[in-house]
Amino acid sequence: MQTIVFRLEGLACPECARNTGIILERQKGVKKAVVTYATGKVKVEYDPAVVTPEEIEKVIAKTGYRITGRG
Amino acid sequence: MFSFPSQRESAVPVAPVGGLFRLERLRALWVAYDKLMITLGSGLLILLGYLAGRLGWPAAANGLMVLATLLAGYRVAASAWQALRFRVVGINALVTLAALGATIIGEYWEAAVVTFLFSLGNYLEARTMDKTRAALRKLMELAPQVARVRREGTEVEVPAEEVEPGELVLIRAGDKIPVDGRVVRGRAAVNQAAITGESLPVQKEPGDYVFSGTMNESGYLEVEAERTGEETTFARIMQLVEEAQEEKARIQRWLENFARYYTPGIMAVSALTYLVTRDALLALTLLVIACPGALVIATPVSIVAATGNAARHGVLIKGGEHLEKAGRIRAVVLDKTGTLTRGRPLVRKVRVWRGSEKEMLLKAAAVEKLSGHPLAKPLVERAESLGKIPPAENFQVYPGCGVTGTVDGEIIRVGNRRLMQEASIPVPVDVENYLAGEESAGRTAVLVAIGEEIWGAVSIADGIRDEAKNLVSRLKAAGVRKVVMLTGDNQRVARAVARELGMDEYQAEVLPEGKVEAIRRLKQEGLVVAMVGDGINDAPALAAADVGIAMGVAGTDVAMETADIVLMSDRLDKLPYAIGLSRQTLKNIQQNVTFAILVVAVLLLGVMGKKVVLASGMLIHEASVLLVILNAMRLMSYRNG
Repeated sequence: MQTIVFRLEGLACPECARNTGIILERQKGVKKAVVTYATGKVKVEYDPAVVTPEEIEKVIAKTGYRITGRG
Repeated sequence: MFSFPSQRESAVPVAPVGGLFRLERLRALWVAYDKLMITLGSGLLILLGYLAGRLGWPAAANGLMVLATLLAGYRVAASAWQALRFRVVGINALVTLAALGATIIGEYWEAAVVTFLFSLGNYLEARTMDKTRAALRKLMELAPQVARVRREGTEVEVPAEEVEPGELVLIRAGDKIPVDGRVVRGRAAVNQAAITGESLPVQKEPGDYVFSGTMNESGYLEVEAERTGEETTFARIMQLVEEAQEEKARIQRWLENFARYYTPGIMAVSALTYLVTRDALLALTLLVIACPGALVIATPVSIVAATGNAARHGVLIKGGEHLEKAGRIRAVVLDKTGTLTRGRPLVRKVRVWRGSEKEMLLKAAAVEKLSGHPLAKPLVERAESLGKIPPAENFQVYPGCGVTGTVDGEIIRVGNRRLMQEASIPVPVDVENYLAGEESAGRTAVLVAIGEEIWGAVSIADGIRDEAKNLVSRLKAAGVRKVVMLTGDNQRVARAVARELGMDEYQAEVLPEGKVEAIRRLKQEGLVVAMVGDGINDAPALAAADVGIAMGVAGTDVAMETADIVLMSDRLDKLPYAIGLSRQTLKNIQQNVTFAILVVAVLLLGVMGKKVVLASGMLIHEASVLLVILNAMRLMSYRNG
């Protein structure tokens, strides 16, 4: 298991933050995803054998948020 | 180090006059206040629509209502669609469906009001959450940017994170201290509020430790950097505060999970209702009022408000779960040394049977000065305040008994009864009685013999902190049932201190492993146990307790990592405050959750009984969201324990 943190831009509402977490956790290889509205960060625990950070980034992009950086 | 995804308030630039810039400024204003403007806009349209209706222009009225629905509902629908593409059915979807349905069956007024109230609720919720962002940003502003260092003989200004440990940093009055380190030269009053929450400045002199992020209010300091950049206490605190935001309370996780299944469930129930009753409005009303909105935000707003309040008071609570647990604390275990006492023994009493006090203390100090015993320091300090300590010779240590030496050829003995007995110096009955009295009062009395006779006794004890005196009663008021003191000291001292402070229980001569054992025993009694320690040799006990509370630890990493709650300053009165606040927060969350469930239940009954329709249902529903937020915000102003 590995952990990666993305910084997001444009989290519109607390509800949207929650949904993004749910969507990420549905992804194969993602064990846990916590989106924090207050800091605009999403912390993803994932299995590097199943999913890559780039694939996770793609999923986030599809939910409509822009990633401004990692860590 | 930090980035806030939408730096809304700060995104409004101070624009010079000019067309292009004005446009830019408008855009920035829109970004900053879009939610508010959308809400206000749709509210205005509803008002106009209502007036048009009263004036007897139904077509205009309906048109305006549809416009209001579109304005307020567009984003809701977009978010709902975004989530639906990932097969997530959220509150947004419920509201969109309700507004859409109401418009289709011709209930334009209902649709407009539902979307308007929903976006109003969203705006208020986001605003409350933004307060945490603002708090974090404020913390960030405290982070020092530049440091003035002396390199190769000249003073240069460099970014704070580029200072190397060991470098000499110069801090003028009004400067922010950019590193953690020790004062080498100079004197200053330093405001440490950013770290410890203390509002009064602290005097710093050579040898003292200063923290990054604190402010030199007056004076000048030269500091040798020890920890810089990401390593500083300040940077660690920021990181912990951030991580705390991510950690959800158990109730919160449960409720979010619940909402995940509850929301689609409500849709099914609504569809079923329509199929059975053929009453579209009833089915739609059901959709809206069963929204779990208040339920989902009940916990996070309370926690955000409480942790924010705590941070302002120099108390770091590492997340919702710890806050929740701390709200259930029933037993508090305290380590005596460094927690209840200052951890710094002082001379409490001097008794002289022969000669003068000054002469006795100076001569005793002359010998004690050469010893490394912890009880020697307070005696020497006291003597130094009286005069010049003479030099001593022939210094000798008798372990477990005391020390001897000669001053001006005269033998000085400082120690306990055994030292005197072994030197065949008589210990009279009144001296014996005096020693016994001092010991049962929790003080250690050291005898001083000059020549072949006892001159007097010096009583030394660790000072009890002023705030410790009413600690037990304040803890009890905060809902704690049992307060237990642990100490490595002997029975007599332990009993005296425990009695003075009104402890329910105490244990003396406890080794570090013994602390863990004592905590386990209390846990077996079925109590939620908090352990309070200075964190240096308490780490296992802090971890063993349900809630580990470390105090006065600015600077000690281990304690900050292992503890669940960190009191940055060493003010003991923050303890009842932290426990009281946690308890209040738990209560607040319970109130919110109960209230939210109750409102939904009552509304459901109202719908069944045809007393509640779409718009009024939404109004009550959003009012409940607002009340939950307001109730949580009360925690922002919580003060004492």
